[in-house]
Amino acid sequence: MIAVLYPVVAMVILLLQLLLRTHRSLSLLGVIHPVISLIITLYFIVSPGIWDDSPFFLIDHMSLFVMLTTSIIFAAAALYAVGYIDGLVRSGDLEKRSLRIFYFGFSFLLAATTMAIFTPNIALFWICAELTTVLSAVLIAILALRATIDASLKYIFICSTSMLFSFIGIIFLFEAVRNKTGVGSLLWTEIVDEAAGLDSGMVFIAFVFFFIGFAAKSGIVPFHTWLPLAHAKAPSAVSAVLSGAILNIGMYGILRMTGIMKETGVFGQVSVLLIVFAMITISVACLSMLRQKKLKTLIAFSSIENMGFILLGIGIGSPVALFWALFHMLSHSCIKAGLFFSAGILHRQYKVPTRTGEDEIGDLLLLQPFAAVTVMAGCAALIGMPLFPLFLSKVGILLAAAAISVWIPAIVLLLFACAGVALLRFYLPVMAVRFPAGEGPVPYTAPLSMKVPIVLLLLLSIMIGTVMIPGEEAFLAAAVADLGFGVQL
Amino acid sequence: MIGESFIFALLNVAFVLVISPFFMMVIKKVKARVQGRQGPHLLQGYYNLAKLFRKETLYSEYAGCISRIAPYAALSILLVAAIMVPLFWIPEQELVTANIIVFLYLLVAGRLLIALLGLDAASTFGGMGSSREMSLSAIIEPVTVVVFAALVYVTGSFSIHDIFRTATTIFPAYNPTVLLLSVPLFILIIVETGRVPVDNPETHLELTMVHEGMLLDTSGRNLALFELSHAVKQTLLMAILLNIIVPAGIALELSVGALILGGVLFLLKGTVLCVIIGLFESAYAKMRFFQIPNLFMIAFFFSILTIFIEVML
Amino acid sequence: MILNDVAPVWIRICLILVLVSGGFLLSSRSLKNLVRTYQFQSFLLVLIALGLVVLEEHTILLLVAALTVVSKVWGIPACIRLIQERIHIQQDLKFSYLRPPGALMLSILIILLVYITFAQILEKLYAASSLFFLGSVIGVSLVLMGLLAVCIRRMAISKVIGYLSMENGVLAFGLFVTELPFFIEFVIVIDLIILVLLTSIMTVGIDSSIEEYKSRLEEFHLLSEEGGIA
Repeated sequence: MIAVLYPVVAMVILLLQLLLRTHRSLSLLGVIHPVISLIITLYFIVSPGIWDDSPFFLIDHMSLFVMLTTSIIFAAAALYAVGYIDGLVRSGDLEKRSLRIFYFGFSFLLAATTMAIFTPNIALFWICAELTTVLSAVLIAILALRATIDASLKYIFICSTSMLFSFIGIIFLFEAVRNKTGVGSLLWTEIVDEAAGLDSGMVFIAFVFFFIGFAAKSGIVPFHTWLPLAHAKAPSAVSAVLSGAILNIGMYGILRMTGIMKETGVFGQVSVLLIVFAMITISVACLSMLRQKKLKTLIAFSSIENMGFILLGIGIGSPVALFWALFHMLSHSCIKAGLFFSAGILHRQYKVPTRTGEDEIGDLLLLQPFAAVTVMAGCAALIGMPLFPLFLSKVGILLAAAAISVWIPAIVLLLFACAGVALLRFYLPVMAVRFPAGEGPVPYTAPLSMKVPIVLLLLLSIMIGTVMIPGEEAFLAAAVADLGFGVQL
Repeated sequence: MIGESFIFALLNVAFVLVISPFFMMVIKKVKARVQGRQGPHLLQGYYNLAKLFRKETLYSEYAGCISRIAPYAALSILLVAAIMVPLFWIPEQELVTANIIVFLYLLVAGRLLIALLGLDAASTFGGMGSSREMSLSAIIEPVTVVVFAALVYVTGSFSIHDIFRTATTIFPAYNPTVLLLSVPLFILIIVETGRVPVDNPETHLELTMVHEGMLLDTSGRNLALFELSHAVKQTLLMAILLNIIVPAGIALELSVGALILGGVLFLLKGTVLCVIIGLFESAYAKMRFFQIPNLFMIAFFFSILTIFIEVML
Repeated sequence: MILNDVAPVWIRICLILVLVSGGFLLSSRSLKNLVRTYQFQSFLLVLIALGLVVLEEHTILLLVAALTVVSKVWGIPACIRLIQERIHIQQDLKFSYLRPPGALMLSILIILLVYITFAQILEKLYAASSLFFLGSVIGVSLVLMGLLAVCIRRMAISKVIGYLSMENGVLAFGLFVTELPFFIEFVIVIDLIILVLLTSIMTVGIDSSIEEYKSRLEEFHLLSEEGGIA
């Protein structure tokens, strides 16, 4: 029953955040919460013996893996927020009285995400996912500017309306199970067990409706339109969480649902559906990246691209592809969060977006050598350079895709080239811009707490990209097996 | 048989002619009251007609034969239509072949005559009114057809007589489709008789007039005939709505008591409907010409929905 | 029992009126009417739930009905009216993509499409007249019509009403799957209330400059003096 610690810790932290008043204590609590979550998760991972069949928590390799990713990103973001939010308050961008809303929302978001991952009940999962939408909308709009409110409203409307379709899907699934067994069920594990004989028509409707909502949550084209806006307008610490953790919730839902579909008669159609959406997503995202002129929007589109790629892995549906899809999820989260952090430093330096709406970055290496290097490293990682983990997962999924059709890897590789070109085309000219002498902005010194998470995340991603951590392979393979896919690798 | 048919036609037509001006005045009175005016006397419609019949009839110097024929033709067409719609007495057998499609065509024919009349006098306003009337009717016609198609589908017959007969047997609150149908039928009354959101029957304002524009050049007896046929048209459409939604009290056999009861009840129901129309007219402002399709679309939506639901349930 | 014979007809009539109210939500231009229509729609759901109580004797549906009355017939509309009074906007005349006539036309197509699709997929399991089938067709159609309303309306507050109507569609469908645990309906309503509150606050903000926005937030007592949420 150690899993109870998650909600207990969350409650205590939320309560304290309501009671304490100083900025410092609030941000400290913000850091403590994800760090404790991370420690609990790690403890769970190393000691499989203590997973018990609690009726309130679904603890298996899969949920622990997603939770690991989530808590890493939240911990890094909370650490980053210490310096970042302080800077925002000092410069007057963020009202002092919004601070508590921010930290409270941040911790609450982590709590909702945790519950979403560990709940064994699909309907509860839906509700928690919906809660994460509402909470992240608050965080996006925290600066109370017209643009951020706009982005936030768009986010709410697109995600919430699509999520309603998911609920219809859940009702259909419930009814399908009820038709077979006489008693409806909403538990992930029970439905996976019963999946084999479900009526294929009902199940397919259920999947399609379910997919609409969670595709919107993870920014799959054509439900992606909120994503570039929301991720670009939100404060960078929030963007990192949105991109690194909240998008994964949508993917987690789709993963579990596809696992249910595996045993039913409609897996073929589901697979085609997922692959088609994945290909559309990758194409739209990569081609739109080419014409972006703002760093954060560019990174946001890259998130869409990577979500599409993970979806491709899920759609292929072989254990190998799923293995690499999970791997891709973890590595993408680390790298993307790091990039958003670096973009946040540039944002503080150059106050982008400026009135013209375009980034006015200049004297990059002189003013911000640290951010310049980390952005470069992040871009290299996104493109899929060896050393970085995305290289491995991209190769893995593309090889698995070749088993279905050679055209998939061919087209995807071409699109990846487009994405790479887009990143370079943005970055290289920016490096060359020089401000006329004396007209450049005053150098901004990022506090240590903003730099440390970037370095940590980059190191972490290099580590998973180069070294096979003992047990990592077995753990991921077990996670794939938890979903309902075979274990043979 | 023949005798009964004759009695039926005579009673029906006479009844329509007698009560139509009254209904027109009820609506006017309600509107006046809502606007805080006294309003005309309820019998003013008859006085008006009597006055107009006594007046001299003038024709434009360009007017052709249409101006001379149209008033009589329009009224007689509507009177033929009136035979088809039983108001307060539904005979046992179908005495007159009352096909609803023929009924529709008769209404359209009346419309066409008036539009031609507007052109015939060769005045600018008449032409303007005719062109507006025709473009409106081009849009409303498909809707009308669908509304009546829904009606036919629900009751399972093309004959107005049978439709009314079926309506007396179903309790409307028990049948959602009948309730649904009342909305498009009501809109149809508003549109076909040129009432407020679509056209304002009381204005001769160049910008908005449709129906009045066409009649601008008629006078005396001809004008009286047109006003009468307009009133008859309204009564007929109202009768269709009333006898489907609240058929209660309608006479089913030929006896003096039942006929009187049916007639009085129809008068009451009609008056209530007129009050509703008057209130509806007062509640809305005249729509811009290009927004009128919105109203039609609502009628269309309801009738299609009716058909769906009839299929689904 | 007469009640048992009346109940299915009762439910059918209500379901149809639900669709009609969906049509009104698409075409109405006055904000007041929008809220009123939504209120009426929620009330119809209550009536449906009561009909189902008679028919299937699931007393849990009484709770659902009570919850719907409190939250959707009374609470949320009152909240939206409050917001409307503050923003001083009576009419919603701005539409994007489609104007109401086109939207109504499209919703006819939607209903037809949903009916045909579901009839094909579900024909093996349910009779075409079963309440589950009818509920699913009408519920999903209402959800799609609400989606249409969300898409074509430009003002955020009417978008909210479109969203609420979508949620009503889900509830209408969910009512017919009677074994669905009750707590889910409960939590969904809570989620809905948070969402409505949040979007309403932001809606107030979207039509005003920032200074005005903050003063309005204070008006709603959402920002206390020394910081934090109240």
